[in-house]
Amino acid sequence: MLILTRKIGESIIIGDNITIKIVEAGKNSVRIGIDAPKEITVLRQEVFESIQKENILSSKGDKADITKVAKIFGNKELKKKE
Amino acid sequence: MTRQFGEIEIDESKIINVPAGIPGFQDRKRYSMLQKEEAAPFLFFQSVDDPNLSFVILDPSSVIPDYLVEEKDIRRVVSWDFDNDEINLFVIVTIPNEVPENATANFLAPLVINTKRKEGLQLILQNSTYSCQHPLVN
Repeated sequence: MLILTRKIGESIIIGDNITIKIVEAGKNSVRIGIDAPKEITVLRQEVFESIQKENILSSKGDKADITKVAKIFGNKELKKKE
Repeated sequence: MTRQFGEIEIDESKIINVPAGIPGFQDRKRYSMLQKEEAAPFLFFQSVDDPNLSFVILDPSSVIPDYLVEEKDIRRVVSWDFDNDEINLFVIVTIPNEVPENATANFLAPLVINTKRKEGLQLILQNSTYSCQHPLVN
């Protein structure tokens, strides 16, 4: 990992078109500004990781369980309509 | 051969491309939507290239009737133009092993599928209060 030191107000350019700016620095956190083309998704790491983890869990689902959920879910839908 | 369905044939013209892949499975870029009567209303998003990979998916409005993904949130991320009626949303369902009543779905990162282009992505909503583990049953 490349590690650079920046002062508040200074920036880093990545590739041709991504700019990262240090907007404000506090005791325990830093405000970072990001300028990137819209096709590039910018996420807090923990958000990406929780989506990834959820996807991996989801992909491991078992056939038998799916039909059980369908029954439970179907019953719930019927009850709602009553 | 697939894990969920045994041997199946996939209609090439119905394959949905996911150029960015799905987080956790970025190298899998082609999927097909499959259904099984006993699993309804759930559907399966089956990887064409990996028979062991499929996701259980669901129409989000069957759980949250007013579930909303704004057009601008999609336009922010995709390079193609679209009409709203070309877009289908699905949420990916997680079923904990042997505890089907604890099934949840990810409303924070829906699958956005352009049915006309046969192309999709998992869109992670920004500044959203939806949950990635929204209970389906309780």
